[in-house]
Amino acid sequence: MLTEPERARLATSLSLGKPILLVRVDAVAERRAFLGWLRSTHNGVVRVCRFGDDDPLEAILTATAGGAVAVAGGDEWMDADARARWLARLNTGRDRLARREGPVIVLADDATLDEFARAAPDWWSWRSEVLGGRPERTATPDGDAGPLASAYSALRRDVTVDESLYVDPEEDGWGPAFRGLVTRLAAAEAPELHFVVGTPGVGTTTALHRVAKQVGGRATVVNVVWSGPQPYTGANLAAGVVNAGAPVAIVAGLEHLASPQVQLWARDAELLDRPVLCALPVDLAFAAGDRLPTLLPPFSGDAWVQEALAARGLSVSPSAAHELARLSGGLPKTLFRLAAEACVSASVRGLEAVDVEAVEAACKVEIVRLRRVVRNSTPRWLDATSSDLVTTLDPALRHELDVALAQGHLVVQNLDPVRFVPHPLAKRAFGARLR
Amino acid sequence: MKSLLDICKEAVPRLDPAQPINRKELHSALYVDREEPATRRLFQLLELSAIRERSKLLLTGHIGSGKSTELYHLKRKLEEARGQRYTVIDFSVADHADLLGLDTRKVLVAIARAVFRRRSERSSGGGDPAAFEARLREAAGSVTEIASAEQRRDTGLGLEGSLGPVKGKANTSRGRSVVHARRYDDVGELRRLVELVNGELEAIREARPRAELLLVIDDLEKLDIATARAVFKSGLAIASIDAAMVLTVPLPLLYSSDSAKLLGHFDPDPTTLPLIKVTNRRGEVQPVNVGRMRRVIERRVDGLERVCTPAAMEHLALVSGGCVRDLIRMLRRACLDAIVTERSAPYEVDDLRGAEAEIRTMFQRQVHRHLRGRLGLLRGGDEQMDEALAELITLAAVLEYNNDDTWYRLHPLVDHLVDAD
Repeated sequence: MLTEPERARLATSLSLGKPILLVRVDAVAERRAFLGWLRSTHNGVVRVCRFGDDDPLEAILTATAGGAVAVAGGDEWMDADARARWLARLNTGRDRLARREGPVIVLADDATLDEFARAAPDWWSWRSEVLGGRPERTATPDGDAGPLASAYSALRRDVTVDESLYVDPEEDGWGPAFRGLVTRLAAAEAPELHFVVGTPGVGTTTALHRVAKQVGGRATVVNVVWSGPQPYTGANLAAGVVNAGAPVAIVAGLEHLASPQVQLWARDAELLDRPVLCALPVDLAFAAGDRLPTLLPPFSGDAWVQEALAARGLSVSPSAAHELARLSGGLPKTLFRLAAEACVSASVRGLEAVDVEAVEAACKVEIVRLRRVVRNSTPRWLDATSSDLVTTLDPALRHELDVALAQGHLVVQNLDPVRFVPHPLAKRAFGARLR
Repeated sequence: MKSLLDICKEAVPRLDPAQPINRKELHSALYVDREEPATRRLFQLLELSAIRERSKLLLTGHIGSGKSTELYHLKRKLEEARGQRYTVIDFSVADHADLLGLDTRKVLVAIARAVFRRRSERSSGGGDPAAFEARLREAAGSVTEIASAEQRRDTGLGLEGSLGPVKGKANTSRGRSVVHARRYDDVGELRRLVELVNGELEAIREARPRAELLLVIDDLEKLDIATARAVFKSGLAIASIDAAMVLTVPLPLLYSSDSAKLLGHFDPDPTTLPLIKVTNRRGEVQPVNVGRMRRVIERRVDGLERVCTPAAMEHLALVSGGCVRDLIRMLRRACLDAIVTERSAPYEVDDLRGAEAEIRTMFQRQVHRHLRGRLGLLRGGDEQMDEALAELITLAAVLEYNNDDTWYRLHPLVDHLVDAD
């Protein structure tokens, strides 16, 4: 999250010329909060473009037409090969950015910023400023060629569409719901609207891609934020789906939008002429109206942990897998963050695999980080009861909650029953202060 | 007298690190002659013999060393010299070809297009673009494989088409991405392309019989080393073009084990453009060069003495390591901070830590751990060239000065990386 001086500098910077700014945002909710802030403070036009398009520079140049601010992001959708290609394209085509008509803001997580700096150094050298700081790092595993170092890199990469998370639906807790959705969408001819909801970090976008893959060629994943015209009215978002031309539309990207925009979308999606499945962030689940959304549950089971980590080249002992499953609260992103920290500790002790001791060390590091995130001596969301929080209309409290959700490990929203619950790591960090 | 606030508001738009000096009005307004021995030598070489003898010169340097700016300055100097006898055709390969998956053939196609464009601009009967493209297609194969970014926009050709039949998977080589391009072994195809280029050059000479031609090809230094190898694999074809040339090349290519083979057809003594030498080998400040950096900023900040004290300005010049782009970025940050905080007094050295931190963080991100050990060795006196050192030089984490005797120096803001490890 940007500090106040950084926000002031960014706002001034936008009013004076055409800077190329990079802003570190480590979570989707942060991105959404940033976009909301930008739209409310910047007087000019703000256009979002997908940085990962085939020709990322052209997408940016088009978005800056007439002096608009181009906000680029979305690269995390790409697989490694595509990513390598567009980074190369970005680097070699850098000089085309001289033709930009307005400022450019690139939103990226910390690992992606590192990747820009290394893999697109010529492009990187044109930046005006990087905002959002750099998180404190404890260490990286020793020995760059070692298996732990390689696993560490894989775990640090924040990938939204992560096929390695695909496991047998019977094992990951949403088998019947998953099968039901796939069957309905594969057979659907008439317009119908379905919703999936999940707490931040649970892998909702990956789930959408997985459904699309199972449905087959008729289904296409459409990110309405990137593909629809702007501004984000419900009609424009729906137009993004129509433009994609898929008989069955799997809609992603709604988590980038503010609450009123999601409600407008849900209203206009009713009028679409085809079957549609879309994912809502759990705090906006009410936009589904009378339709009962399918809940994407957190993962469960030690075997799943071992499999997901093995896909990233990390082996863990059975007891360590159990601890990781418990501490991550069923959120893949949290799991990978913890596992990455555990690699560091294992490496320090000369181990090639992660054991319980390494997990415990990682947990302590994360708790230190959580305490830094929660700077207030007593955060108000810790004081309130979870049922109060669900219905609160206090904007300041909502904001604190959004931050807590964005940072991960602090609060998890459940749907059934609807309530906020402290994350297992938050319980460890603030146990004495939690009711 | 203008307030500090007004000075900074005027300065920020002009302190743009993404503003290449490659247009006449920008050159007139912003260019400061660094009087760099490397560029002086390059100019003299061209004037004395290289253009006449149609030599092929190579230019390289750190990212941000000012290669494009100096090449544009060189072009203007040459065009103004000797009663406009020289015709300089300068272009970026990126304007005429997709640099991704570039190879010798695509470079030749880009050169052909640039020369044709110049011929069309200079003479009324310059030729029919459609007929030229047809000849190009005949010489080089399917045009969809060689469409430039501009053409893709104009014609709506998809990017996949432009890439052509790319084989193999993308991978990474020392942090930079690579796509293994199709191998073109058809020597006849390359020969036909060279003949096409030479035919276009001849047409320009016929229109201006006394003209001496120079091709300046920029942006090849942005290629990763694997792609650069694919380009220079058939270097003889490029060197067979019948005009003097200056080509930029990636610095690591010069230090690779096969450089003699790849670059054997080009001038054996490449020019390396260093960053501005703000300190000498012993770390002693070079006031003349610090003064040049100050002048670069004065062109952009009207009232610099109100923004920072002379000591603060010297400090920024030193910590920039002589990289103008980094200096511009730090000044920009200082001006923005001054606006936001409504500062009224000039910056002192100690007030500029925030601006410095930006550059430090850049190196933290850019210099991967596997390179940091090499930094330590260099600080210990190991100047043996290897791939890691070449990459560090490209990133300007290590500054190289090799136009008198060769010496290296750690960038002033990377020391902490070595200490941290």
